[in-house]
Amino acid sequence: MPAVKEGQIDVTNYNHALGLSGKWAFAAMQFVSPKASLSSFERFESFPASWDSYEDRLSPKGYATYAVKIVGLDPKIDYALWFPGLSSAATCYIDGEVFYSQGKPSGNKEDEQAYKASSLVSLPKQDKTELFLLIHLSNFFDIHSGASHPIRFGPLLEVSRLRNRIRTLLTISFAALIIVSVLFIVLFFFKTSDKTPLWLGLLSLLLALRITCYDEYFFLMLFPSAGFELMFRLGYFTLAIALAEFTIFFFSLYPFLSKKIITDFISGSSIVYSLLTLFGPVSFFTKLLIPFQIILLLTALWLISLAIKAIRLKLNGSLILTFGFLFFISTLVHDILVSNRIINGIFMVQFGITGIIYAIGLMIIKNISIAFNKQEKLNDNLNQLNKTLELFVPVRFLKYLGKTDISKVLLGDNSQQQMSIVFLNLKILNNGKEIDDQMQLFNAFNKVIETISPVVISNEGIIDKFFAGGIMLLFPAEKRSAMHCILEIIKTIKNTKFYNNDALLKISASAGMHTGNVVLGTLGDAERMDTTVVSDAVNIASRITELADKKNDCLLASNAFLKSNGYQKSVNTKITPFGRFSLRGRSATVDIYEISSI
Amino acid sequence: MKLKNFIKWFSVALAFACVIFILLIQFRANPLNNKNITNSIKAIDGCVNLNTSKYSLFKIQGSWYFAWKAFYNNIEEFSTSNFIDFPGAWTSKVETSTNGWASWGLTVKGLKANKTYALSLGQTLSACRIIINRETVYSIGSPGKSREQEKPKWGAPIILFKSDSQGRADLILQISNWHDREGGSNTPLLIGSPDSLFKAQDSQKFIDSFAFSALLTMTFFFGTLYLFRKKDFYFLWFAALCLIVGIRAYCYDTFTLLDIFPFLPWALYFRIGYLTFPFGILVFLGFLNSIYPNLLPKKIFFILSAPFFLYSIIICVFPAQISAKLLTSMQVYSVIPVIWGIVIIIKACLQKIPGCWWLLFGFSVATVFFIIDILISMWIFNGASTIHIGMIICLMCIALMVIENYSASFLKTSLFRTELETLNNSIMRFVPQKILNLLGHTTLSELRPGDSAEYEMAVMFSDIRSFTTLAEKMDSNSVISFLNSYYALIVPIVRSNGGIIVKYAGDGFTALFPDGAESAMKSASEIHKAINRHNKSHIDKNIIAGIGIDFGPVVLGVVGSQDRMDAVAFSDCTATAAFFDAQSKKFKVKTIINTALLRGLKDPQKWLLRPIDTIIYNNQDHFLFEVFSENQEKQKEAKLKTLGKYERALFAWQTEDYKKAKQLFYELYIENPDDILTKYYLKKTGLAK
Repeated sequence: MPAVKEGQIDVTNYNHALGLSGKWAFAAMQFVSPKASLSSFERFESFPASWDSYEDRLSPKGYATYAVKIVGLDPKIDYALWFPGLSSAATCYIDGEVFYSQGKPSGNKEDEQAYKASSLVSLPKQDKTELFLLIHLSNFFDIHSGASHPIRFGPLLEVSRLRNRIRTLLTISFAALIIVSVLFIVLFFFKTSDKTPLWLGLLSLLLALRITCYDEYFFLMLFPSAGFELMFRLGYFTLAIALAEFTIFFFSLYPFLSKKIITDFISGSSIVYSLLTLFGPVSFFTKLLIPFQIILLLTALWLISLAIKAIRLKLNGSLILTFGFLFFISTLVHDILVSNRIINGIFMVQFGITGIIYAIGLMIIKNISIAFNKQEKLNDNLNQLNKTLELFVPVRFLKYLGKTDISKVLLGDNSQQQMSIVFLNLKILNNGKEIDDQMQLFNAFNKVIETISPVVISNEGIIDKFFAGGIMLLFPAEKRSAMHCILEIIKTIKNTKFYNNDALLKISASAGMHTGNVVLGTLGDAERMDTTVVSDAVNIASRITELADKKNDCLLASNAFLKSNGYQKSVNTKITPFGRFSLRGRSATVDIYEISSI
Repeated sequence: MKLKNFIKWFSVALAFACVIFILLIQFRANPLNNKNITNSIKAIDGCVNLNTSKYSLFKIQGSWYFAWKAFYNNIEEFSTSNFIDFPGAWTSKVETSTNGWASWGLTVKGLKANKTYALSLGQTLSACRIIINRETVYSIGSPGKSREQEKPKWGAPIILFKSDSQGRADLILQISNWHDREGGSNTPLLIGSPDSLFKAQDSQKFIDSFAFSALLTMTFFFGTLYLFRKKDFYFLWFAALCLIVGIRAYCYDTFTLLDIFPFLPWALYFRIGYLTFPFGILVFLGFLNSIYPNLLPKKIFFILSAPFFLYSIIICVFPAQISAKLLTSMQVYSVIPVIWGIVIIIKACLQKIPGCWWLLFGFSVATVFFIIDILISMWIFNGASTIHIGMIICLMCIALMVIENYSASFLKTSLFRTELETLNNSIMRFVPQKILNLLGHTTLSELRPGDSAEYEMAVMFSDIRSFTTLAEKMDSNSVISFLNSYYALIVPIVRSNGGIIVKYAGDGFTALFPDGAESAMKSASEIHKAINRHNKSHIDKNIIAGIGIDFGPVVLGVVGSQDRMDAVAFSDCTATAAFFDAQSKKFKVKTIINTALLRGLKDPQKWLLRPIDTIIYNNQDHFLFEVFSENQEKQKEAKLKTLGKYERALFAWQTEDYKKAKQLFYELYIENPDDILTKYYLKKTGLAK
């Protein structure tokens, strides 16, 4: 690729767009007449650059003339120049004629009209094979003079294509950041409990705004009347505020990693600086840029060290974040290589920024989705748990308290009902002896309960309590199903073979039955609640059971029980009087009958 | 809540407005949309006069010279009677075929002499050479007289030319079509100052790139959502829809895809562009199917989408001209799925399915912009294509719907969770959690009847003396509330000593003390103390509780069936503890323990104990002790004072020295006539004699 040497560049047979970089003719602190020729220049300096980087360290504030002679043009080709933003005002002449200007350059600060634009200017068709480009440049506004990108030159279609490409890439980054911002801000407002989408949305918006302030100056394209100075301030502002925002965002992400004081210091100083960029004088905040950049660099190093820590600790999203960071750094390195002409290409750092934002977006979406999935899974588990534990709740019992919704059941709820109470005692005999081992007993007992509980349910009975060796059953008296149920249970037990380690068990079932008025209620305290039946009738039933227990396979029922269950209708049973008993501690007597199946 | 909602929608609207604002500003910045800059002008009989210095950009439509099957270089070669509309296709003139070659000619007058102008052409199919003032200035592809000679290409370049000394330019377009659907162009010719034309191009490309990038970002966003939540398939459909519309925005109009990939071969470019059409319809149907599965049955979805699927294969596999020829009929056919889709959206709105209004709004916007675009191309409006803006707004509305759906289902899950937790808390009250912990379960949901574990522990049984008499005087409500206030007193004591109440049975309860004898003793003592305190403040309702404690192996187990479960303590001790409690009534003492428990005490001297007697229960001998530390002060002192004598008396009795025993018990009776035990033994010694 041809380069500018001694203020001259030869483009013979080179029909692509090229940057006019190299040693331009240069005259410091003077506006050389546009009509002058290359021979009138004595000094040659590199451009694009700022003249304060030259050997004699000129003050960045000042004015100068740059010139280049382009030779070897093909008269048949339409050429064009693409000017980047020039700091801070410039007028360009071709062969002595004003050709293009950005603001109005001047020898003093007051008369300078600073402006920046990126413009493609086509050269008028002419038959000459060379042209002389002379630029009057002044800088009383920016911290550096000149340009960071070269002025590009070449056949119109080539330059236009290159420009379109770069603008396209910038537009893509800009739009991506805008849309990320919109989507995540919307996401935040739909789910305000998590603040990270909002931070990302705002960060993304700031970076999008920043893109419009540099390179192609979309800001002025979008808001032509907003003015150059506002754009200039916004460029500085977005950097400062984005740093504050990113630090806070990082803190909210990994609060235990980052130190609050450091976060506060960085975000605080960034906010102060950002306010200065908006409202302070330009010369003041541009001078403060260097210290701010040091803070920026240190913050970047600090954040990288934190990111490494986060990866070490395998924190959520740290890997994605680091990939984003590495991508950003690699675009930065790429751009440094490009700007030093080590490799060819276009600047990619905007893509790096978009990449980071994408990475953070990915992480946030991942976190949200994980939270969602986790919640769903927890719900599933909890649902499963509830279904299991509901078995501990005597749902049928609660129905008699008038409660269908478990969560509405309160301590002390009660109701009075006419109920048949049955204590069924199971003696489990192995070889005619009661089982000594409690564990074996428990297992055998469980088998019996499993067998008889469907019988209880089908007879609308309630298993109120499980005892070691027995159960307490309740039957609503009006159903008249208690007697039938007990006989069926006895039949079922007789007809089923129960084993304990291959040894056939003999189950002897005795029952005491009584019918009476009972109080059903809930007892206990807030932590542990149970249902209970409080009634003299329960005591009577219990006493009858004690009597029945003295014999094997004995079913004893009170007169009240038989009456309420309509015993006379029973065909397969024999009812014989067992005796009249006065129960301990009371005068009234109870007539007891023995029931036996025929 | 209302304010929060307002802030929410305000912010959402603001974010949206921001995007639309950027697009509108860009749209307005386009010189083509500025009536003061751009003039639409009609070419008549191959001639156009631009002699209106006020404008810097001209949009030219009208009749051009035309020559079929000829490539002219000079405007004079054209017949002065053969004209054709531009933009347009030669099929309007030549009925024979869409394939062939021809020349279009136009004389442009009224330009400034010797000045550089720019012109811009839209898509010309399928190759075009541009000749100005007899010189070839540019060639899009390379037109040819046969399929082999032609090199097709898509492009919309800006070309510079210089007017001649009379301010005239003769423009000839040599167009051939062997690869695409029709020969000709569909966009008007633009002529004007290079600056304005570049500005117009910048603006159009900005919008194209913005649309492309915005839609790709949405693809990324919703694709990622799908990636982490595979359950919600509509994310993927929507991501694909955004991707396809985004790519389509890049394929046509300003052909920006070529800016990024300058060396993209035409055959591939053609296929990418063409594929966006059937894919777009397919994905649109797929999206509707996944969000409204009930409204768009799978069968209809497959019937509607099958032709597009087929067409996609044709585009990929067959030569370009075949897919190009089929395009028109496919476009006509596409009306059916689109109408079907709109019907479904309207149906969804009628059924008030959440979010459907966004969908309807989005599609209405897209339709409006589509109509505007058609009107622009029909010369009714002046301006550049707005379809991309419409598409962005449409898809952003759908994005909003998708996000709203997502957050709504998230919210629902959270609400459901609260519901489940409330239920769980209610259920948990009935679950003897501590027992289950002893069963060694980490997750309660794994509990099954039959689960059990064996421990050695103290078992306590306690009830209220003559509660039945007490309860007879009360109604059911006060019985229960009395018991609950009683338990409010007792349960915390048991719990704080590590005890577990396994069963309430009216006024009685059974408690287990896994920590051992010490905590059971402590608990018993505290219970009596608490009741004594209570009695002091409720003189009319004095309660006395009896307590029996035993120590031994306990099997904890879950009994029941799949209908009802409960945790039960299996142990001989439960019965013996109850028996001890019954004995405590007989002897009128507060707490009765046995030797098994005594052995478990670290420091038996700490407790005030008195041996009672050996009593047989369940064929087993139990030696019982009375714990009298919580007796009334007077009684306690008397018992303590006589303890030595009592023990001597008991020793005499046990060594069958009945005489001495009787003597000593008699003395004890004199000293403390209220002692039931002395009376019990006096009676016994009397019998023994």
